[in-house]
Amino acid sequence: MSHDDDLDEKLAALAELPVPPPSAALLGMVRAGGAVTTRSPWHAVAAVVAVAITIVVVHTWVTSVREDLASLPPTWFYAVLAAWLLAFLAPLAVALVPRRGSVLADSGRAALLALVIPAAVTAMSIWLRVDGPQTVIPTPDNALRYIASCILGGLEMAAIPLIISIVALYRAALPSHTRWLGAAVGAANGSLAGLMLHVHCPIGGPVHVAVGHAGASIVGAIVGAIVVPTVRPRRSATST
Amino acid sequence: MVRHAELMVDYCAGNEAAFRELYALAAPRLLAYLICLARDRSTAEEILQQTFIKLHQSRAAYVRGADPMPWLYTIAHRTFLDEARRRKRSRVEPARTDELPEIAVSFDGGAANEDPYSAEQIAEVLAALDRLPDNQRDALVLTKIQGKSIAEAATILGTTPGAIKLRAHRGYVTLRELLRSTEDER
Repeated sequence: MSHDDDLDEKLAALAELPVPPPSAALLGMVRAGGAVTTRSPWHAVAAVVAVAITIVVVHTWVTSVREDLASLPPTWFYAVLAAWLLAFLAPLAVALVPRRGSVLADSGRAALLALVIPAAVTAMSIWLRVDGPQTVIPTPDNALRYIASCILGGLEMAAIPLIISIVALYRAALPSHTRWLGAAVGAANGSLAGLMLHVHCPIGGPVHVAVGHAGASIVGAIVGAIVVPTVRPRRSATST
Repeated sequence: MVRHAELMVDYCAGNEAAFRELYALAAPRLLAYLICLARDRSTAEEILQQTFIKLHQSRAAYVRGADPMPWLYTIAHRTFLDEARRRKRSRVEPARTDELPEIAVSFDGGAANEDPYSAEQIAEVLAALDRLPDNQRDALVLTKIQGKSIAEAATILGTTPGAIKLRAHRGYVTLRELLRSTEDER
């Protein structure tokens, strides 16, 4: 028998141990517990999306769309809108909906999307940007002010969907490390902010769109990564 | 694992017998896992009970048809970490060799397959596991002792399969070296 085989058998032997019966307190809780309605992850996604769409529609109805819309190619406008929508839905679904047959969200896939989505929307904002004749191009004097205004305004609009997403995350069964799930949810709602800015903001130029619009996705991912593991309630589904 | 899922569905529907059967299936592997983490049998048994209490409290978070075992491991892992933090040290107590059974028994109290390794040898492995870095020990325990796949271990520990593979391999190599050096010292 090789040394490795010997070690494998010793390790396997550790899994064969006697087990105490369930405690009286535990059995008492089970008897008193009764039936519960189990979670449907897609309902949580639907709730976040419904709130997000409502906010986008109401905000558009109140403030109207970007002033330079008539001078922009419609195909480009709707293609980029669809890309922002995908950047919102994909990380949100990955963070809130486990793979088939699993109770826990896949933090590996969430990590991948939390990194890829902000990078992809930034690249899209630089290389697939179109400025129409009526698009406002910032000057060095007002560039920073416009960027700060867009990031803060976008994140303000995405705040409620972000909070609902985080609550949905806490109600789910979470793996041990939730930082990447928080980052994915944050990137999703940051992309929602980018979507709203794409609809409303008439300011163009590569720096403004990449930093002021796509930057919301990066900021959202960072905020989610910090907030979700830090303020996790004591009675979340994993750590009750 | 289909049976685990069926039992979990029945348990969420309020069936106590389903809970008992689920406990009988899941508790032995969870206890072994917790003993490897806590290095103390009584602490591990305490955490095992807490794990099932937490499962009961959060059973509404279950997704119908899903395998509950990786979730149970995650609850057990987090409960252990909470307990370790509460006691303000990363490992709870050094294991006492006389606490480990000479012959393993199954949940219903009957004798399990006869174990070719003595309690002393198992204690040696536990002591060597204790000297591994936490992330390597967790990955090694789940993949080598609990028989979880790389993907399952990654889900339980909330990391990527690549990281689990690397940690388990490094842990295995280090563990082998530690056990060799223990044998050489004799």
